[in-house]
Amino acid sequence: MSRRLAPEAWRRVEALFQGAVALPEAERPAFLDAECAGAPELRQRVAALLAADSGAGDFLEQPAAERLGVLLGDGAPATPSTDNWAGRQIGPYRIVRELGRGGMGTVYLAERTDGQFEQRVALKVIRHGPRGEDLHRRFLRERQILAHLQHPHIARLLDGGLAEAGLPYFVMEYVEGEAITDYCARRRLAPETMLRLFENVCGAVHYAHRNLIVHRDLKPSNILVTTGGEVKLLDFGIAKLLGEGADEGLTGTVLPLTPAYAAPEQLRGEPVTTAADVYALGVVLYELLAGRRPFASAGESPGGLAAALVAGQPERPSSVAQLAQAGTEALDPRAVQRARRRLRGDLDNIALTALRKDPDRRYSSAEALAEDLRRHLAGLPVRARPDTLRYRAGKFARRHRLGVAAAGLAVAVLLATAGAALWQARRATAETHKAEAVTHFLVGLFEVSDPAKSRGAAITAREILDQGAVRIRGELASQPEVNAELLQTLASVYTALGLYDRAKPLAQEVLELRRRTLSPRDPRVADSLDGLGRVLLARSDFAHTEPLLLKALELRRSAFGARNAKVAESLASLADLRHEQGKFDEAMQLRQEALATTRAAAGEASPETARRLAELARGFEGQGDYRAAEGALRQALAIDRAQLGETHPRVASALHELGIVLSILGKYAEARDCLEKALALRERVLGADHPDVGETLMQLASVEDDMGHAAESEAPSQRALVIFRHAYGEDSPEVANAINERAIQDLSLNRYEAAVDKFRDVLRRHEHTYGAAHPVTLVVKGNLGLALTYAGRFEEAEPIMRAMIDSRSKALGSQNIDLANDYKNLGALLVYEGRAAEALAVHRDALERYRKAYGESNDAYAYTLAGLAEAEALGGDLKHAETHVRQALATLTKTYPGGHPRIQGRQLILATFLLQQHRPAEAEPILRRSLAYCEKTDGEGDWRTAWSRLLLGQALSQLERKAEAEPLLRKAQAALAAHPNRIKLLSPYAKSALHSLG
Amino acid sequence: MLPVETQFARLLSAWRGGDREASDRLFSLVYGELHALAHHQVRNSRPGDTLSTTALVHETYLKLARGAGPVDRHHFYALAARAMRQILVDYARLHATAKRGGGLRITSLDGEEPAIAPAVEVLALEDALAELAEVDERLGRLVELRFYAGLSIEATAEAMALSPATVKRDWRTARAFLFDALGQEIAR
Repeated sequence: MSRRLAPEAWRRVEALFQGAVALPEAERPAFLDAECAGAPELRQRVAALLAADSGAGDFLEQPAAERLGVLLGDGAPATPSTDNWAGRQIGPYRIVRELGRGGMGTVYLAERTDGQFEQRVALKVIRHGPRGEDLHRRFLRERQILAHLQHPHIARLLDGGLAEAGLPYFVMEYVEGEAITDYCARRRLAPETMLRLFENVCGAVHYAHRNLIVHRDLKPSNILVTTGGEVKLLDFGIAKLLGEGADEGLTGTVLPLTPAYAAPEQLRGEPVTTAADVYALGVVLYELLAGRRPFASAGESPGGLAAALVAGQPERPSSVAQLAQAGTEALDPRAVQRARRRLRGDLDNIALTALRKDPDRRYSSAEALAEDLRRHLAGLPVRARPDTLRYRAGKFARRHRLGVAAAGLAVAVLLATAGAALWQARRATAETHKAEAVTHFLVGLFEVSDPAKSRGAAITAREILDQGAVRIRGELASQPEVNAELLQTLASVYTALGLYDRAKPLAQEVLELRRRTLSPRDPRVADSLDGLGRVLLARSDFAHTEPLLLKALELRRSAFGARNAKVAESLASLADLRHEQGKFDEAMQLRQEALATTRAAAGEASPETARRLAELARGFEGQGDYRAAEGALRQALAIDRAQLGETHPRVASALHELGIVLSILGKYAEARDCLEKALALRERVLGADHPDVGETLMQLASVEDDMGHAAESEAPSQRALVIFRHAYGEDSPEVANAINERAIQDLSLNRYEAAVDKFRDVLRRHEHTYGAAHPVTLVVKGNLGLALTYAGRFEEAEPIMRAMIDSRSKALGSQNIDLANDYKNLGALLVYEGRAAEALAVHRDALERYRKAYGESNDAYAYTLAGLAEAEALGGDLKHAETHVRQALATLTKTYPGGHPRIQGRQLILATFLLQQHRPAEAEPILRRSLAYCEKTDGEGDWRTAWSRLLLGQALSQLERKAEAEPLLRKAQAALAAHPNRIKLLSPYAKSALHSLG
Repeated sequence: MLPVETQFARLLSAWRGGDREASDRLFSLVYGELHALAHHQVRNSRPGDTLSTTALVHETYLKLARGAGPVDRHHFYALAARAMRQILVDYARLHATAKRGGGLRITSLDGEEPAIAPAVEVLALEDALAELAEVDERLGRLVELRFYAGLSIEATAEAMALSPATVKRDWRTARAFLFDALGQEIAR
């Protein structure tokens, strides 16, 4: 009978059907006879419908999702059964209670009642399967083999039989336990523990395979873990027996498989091998790692899901598990971080290998799978990927961490971050061949830097990175996010290497790229904002830095909440900006906040906390609290040393900072020690041209100068200047600072005019970069004033110094300790100018500041005290003057046990006071020593040597040893005639003595 | 990526505005959500529990159509029904083996009779429903709403702008048609 009905015909059938069902059953035939006279086909159709209507029962009354649940989950409908078998006797077993319902039937807890064994068993009645007799016959055939399956992790099949109504049943070892996925999730097992459990599963499966038994229906509900932590596999053999029904063409095509765990070939109905079990193991492993099954994803197009199951690639378990935390790891070349990523990488690959569509490409056995897991846990390369070049290279980098040169370090960082970027590449980009292309590219990069592979040419990190940039753009142009990730990393690496000119365009490019391709609130956009902000900050481009950093902070806060390390990083970046802008108080608050946040997020002893501590120290320095800075830096250094190792670049940075602070506090020897260590580390790790090396060189020069070894400070500061010119460019503030440093050295070497010129140059540069009111500019102004003072140009010096003090008072607060130095310098100027009362007042002010901040036994106090003494002498109070200068000398000789210009200078002053009080006998020895020192240090023609000589002559004169005095005096006079500018710097007494010589 | 509710609302209005492509994407969206929800529920249910279609559809609706307004509910149900149907068919196709052994028996309530493979049943139903829809489009839609979207008689009546009595009657007719058609399938 043809089925195809025309719509009009259907109308008729429908109408008749509806008419008929409204009638009592007995009346229907008559109705049909009447309506369908002469149309037998019509009658037949309506009759068929009526028959269907009465026989349909509750057909379609249960809506569709029930079937969906069946298809998605356990593979067969769980038909509601109204019977209860508790208490029934089946063979030698009595049913105690129902344990559960499964795809094929019901499982009961039963007891053996024939007195043979006291045993509780699981009794499984097969309701939905091949015909009972057939199944039982099969069971008897296989019984020998199945009984031989004796393995501690396999629940034994004990017996089988036929129950009433021909229903087959099986009796198995009773296992009380949880599905392995639940077990691991509930106990939050560590990965290693979880994997060891899984290894046991693999072992059991492999054992069964060797006995020619394929499970065919492995899934978590068949893999139980007892409370004792023992793994037990259920239903081995049963699925096999059931599955064979399809092959033998028996009635009912029951498919005892669970689609989610079934291998593609099983779904297609192809012959099943041990590879299908390996696949199922892969799914379970995936579920253990990722928390859900592969392909359990939303948003697939219709039909795409089916295609995916059979032909598509599952997402990597680590990327699935990671979905909660978007955003990348911050650039940090620590082996711990790298190892953790590779941990995921290995496991990802192991799971995915087991899940390959092509059975031949999976692990050849469950044992091979277990073997790879064992290798992974031991830290050895795994076989999951036949292309092992990357693995060899990666393992090499990890095992030889300390030996990898700076270039390798940079590239290994790139590798690790790129690796992370690959893991996070979305579905759309995770096509195998593209992933392999990226891998090959990275391997190629690394090969070049691996010393064993490079062909002898000195390839620098910079060259590798430059190559990298070109290749990333070319080869990964089609994968925007992987591309962006790598470029971002590259920009960070450039920044870390100090190559800001290269870093900036890259950072801009990535930011634009991410803005185009990602949601504006994606945390990765925040990373790019922060990255570019940092580069700009390094170039002192404050105006552009600020909006970037603020935006990044806001994004991160809203994405991650308050207690997060990335938010802390943004706070720290912002603090740096404020610090550079001279807003020290605000910078401090931000730093404290960043530290507290990092402590909460990462712990007390983590390297991030160390970083915040170092930044905090810088903040303390900005406030002038160098003691607190020292404390913070020592803490940071301890953490970094412990966590990162002695040779890590951050240890070098901490040493560098500590050296600076110690030198300010006057602990010069220790400061130099720190700086030398820092320099050595930085040269080794960063290369001799790195700006950070320049920074350390500058500091070393400064310390040498402070220690009185002005000559020793020249070489390092010259080298630093060259480095900065190359790295930052001529107009950079770094070059300006280097020039400032050299100017200070000029002061120490008595090259005052040169110093003035340099300071003017620096001032001009800083005014341009920072503005006239910026603290750094003001410091240089003070330096200029000092230089002008020494150059004898008092009239020029005074207004500059006063203006500078005024500005600094406003900017730093009038009580800031740095002002003390300014006042001291001003006081010295006033002394030179002969303005005793003002000089006294100013010196007293300065002294008071130092006393409050540092106490009385420090160098700064001592210098100021000596200055006060000069002012007192100027005013005629020689008694106090002498006391004070002696006091000052006592302090200073503790710091400078040997000779030192600053001590010599004060000695000269003391001698002057003594001569003024007509105590030449006490003055003579001092002056002889002074002269000897000056001749050695400053040379014959130097004006200070002349000064000493002059005073010695005076002393001898006072001692009535005119014959000895005369030649000295003449020589001094002649020498000083050559330095007319320096005469102004002589003490009033010396000046008048000179004058009296005629 | 915009949140899914926003996407849904936009697509819905685009579709009503006549954008044909929006219809496909809308379907895609609903398919995805429904599927995910079903998965989620299966995972969290014990063996033997049945999935509630109504709950599934309702939850999906809640998730997607938050901002879309009451008048769109019916559009949504239609979409959901079609999506559910498609999901089932997709899965069933995976299950189906090349051979269809003889002796398919339709599930009844006895519990003792072996059931046919659920996948095969779904595919057979699919064919029957296609046939019905060809002959009577309205009945086809009705079955979709009742069976695939799990709507009650009243809800179906509202969605189709019919009286509940009509829906009851039509549902009976459709069921008979399909049952009959399925029987024919089996005989083949």
